[in-house]
Amino acid sequence: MPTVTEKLKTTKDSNAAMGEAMRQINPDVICAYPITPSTPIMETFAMYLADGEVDTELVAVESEHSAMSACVGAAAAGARVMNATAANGLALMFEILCVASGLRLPLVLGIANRPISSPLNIHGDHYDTYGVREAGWIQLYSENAQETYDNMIQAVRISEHPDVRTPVMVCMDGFQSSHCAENIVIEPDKFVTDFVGTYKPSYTTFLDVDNPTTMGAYDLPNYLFEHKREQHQGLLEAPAVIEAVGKEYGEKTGRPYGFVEEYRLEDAEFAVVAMNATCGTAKDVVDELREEGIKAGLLKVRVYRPFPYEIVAQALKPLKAVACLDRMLPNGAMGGPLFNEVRSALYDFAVKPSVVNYIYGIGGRDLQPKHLRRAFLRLKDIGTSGETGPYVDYLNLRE
Amino acid sequence: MSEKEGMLKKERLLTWRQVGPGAQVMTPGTSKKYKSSEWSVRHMNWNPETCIHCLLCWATCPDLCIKVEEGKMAGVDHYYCKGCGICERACPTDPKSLSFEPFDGGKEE
Repeated sequence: MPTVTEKLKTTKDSNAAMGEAMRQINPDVICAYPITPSTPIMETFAMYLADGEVDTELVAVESEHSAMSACVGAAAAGARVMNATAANGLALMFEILCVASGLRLPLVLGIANRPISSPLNIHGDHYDTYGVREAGWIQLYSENAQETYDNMIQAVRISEHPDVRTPVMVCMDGFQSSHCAENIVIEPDKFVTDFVGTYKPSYTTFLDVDNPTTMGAYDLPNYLFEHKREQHQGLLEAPAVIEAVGKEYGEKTGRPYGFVEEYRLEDAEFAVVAMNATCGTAKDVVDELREEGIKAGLLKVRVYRPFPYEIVAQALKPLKAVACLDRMLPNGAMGGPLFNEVRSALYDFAVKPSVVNYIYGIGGRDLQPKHLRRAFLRLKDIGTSGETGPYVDYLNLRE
Repeated sequence: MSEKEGMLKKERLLTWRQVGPGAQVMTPGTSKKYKSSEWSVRHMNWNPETCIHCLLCWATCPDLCIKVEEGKMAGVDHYYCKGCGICERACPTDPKSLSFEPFDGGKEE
């Protein structure tokens, strides 16, 4: 679908939406080693490249470790760089993810969320991006194809901002989103070109022969602490940029973005907190429960890193009970990753909702409206009795 | 970091606000300044009396610490030598022309 001259309503799955965004962004370099369920992102993009729609240097490498390494090299040389992966591929990249964030290099990485082996499973859950949540990257999550597309475009601006200079992951659910065709609006090519602008690195590049520098040098105990603190500043500066970019994008497209989406939360007593595709199901369940007189709501988290703890706390503080939905087992923690962030964000308030954790959707396991309904009804019981029960419970697990 | 002179001697340490993004050092080739002999726990002696200038030590040294002048062994670069002992193993003379002793063994540089 080359050359979009005006807003185009069409149908795409999230993989194709990412590929379309990449075509319009037309990055300088992509270094790819495709992996299910993200493979069609690169297939879509490679088709555009073969058709001459983009002039990107597409480097086919021999592993995800090499893919991210080549991305780091290209970004250090001053190129606008993108890539896509999932699951075991993201795990193999882990070392170089930390190099990218440690060098403060802008990068955008599309993710179709998938479990990490073993056992081998190619369907959706959040083991992969939760697993790399401490790699120093920004993480944006997307409910559907539209948000996936919009997040990719905004991610370029966020990542490249001189105050941020931090790589960004754009996440969507493997198969539930990556292979699910949905209605989507594609913005005109010119809009995307203008929105992302021409990339001028805000740093002295690595491969400038006239101004040679040293990057990734050996660091001793007398400096690593200062360097990591300096790196952390990028994530502390990110919220202001994420907010400004989301607002500008909204003004220009009619689809504004923030850190969270509050769905019927204003007067809610009970809410679930979730990320990615499940939020679509949750909205339907909230609507059903509202018709039955239960004051249900949803808090969708779009930005998981940096975690918008103040916004989350303010949104949830007045509620009676909250259930955080995690697509990963706690692995020995008190609960899943989202549960821990949300519960911690609420800790300082004297009056706060009870917070419980539901594990769901592991390995692509269905989460149907009836399962979410069960979670909401338990929240109602907690609100009435004040008895929380076990913090961690499971939805649609054979007990 | 632009004023930084490697990890040598005493230097004024920068705060995190001063180090600059990405730990980028604004000068190239900074590893040359790093005195890797600080790792060493033993000191290498070269005996020119027994040396046959075969240069096997030069060929095997992993840190380019064997000095060569006009095709002949000319000494050890004690700024970089870590005392790994590979040159001693490679030396074919009897007795060895390269030998290591602990720093407290009384040998002089």
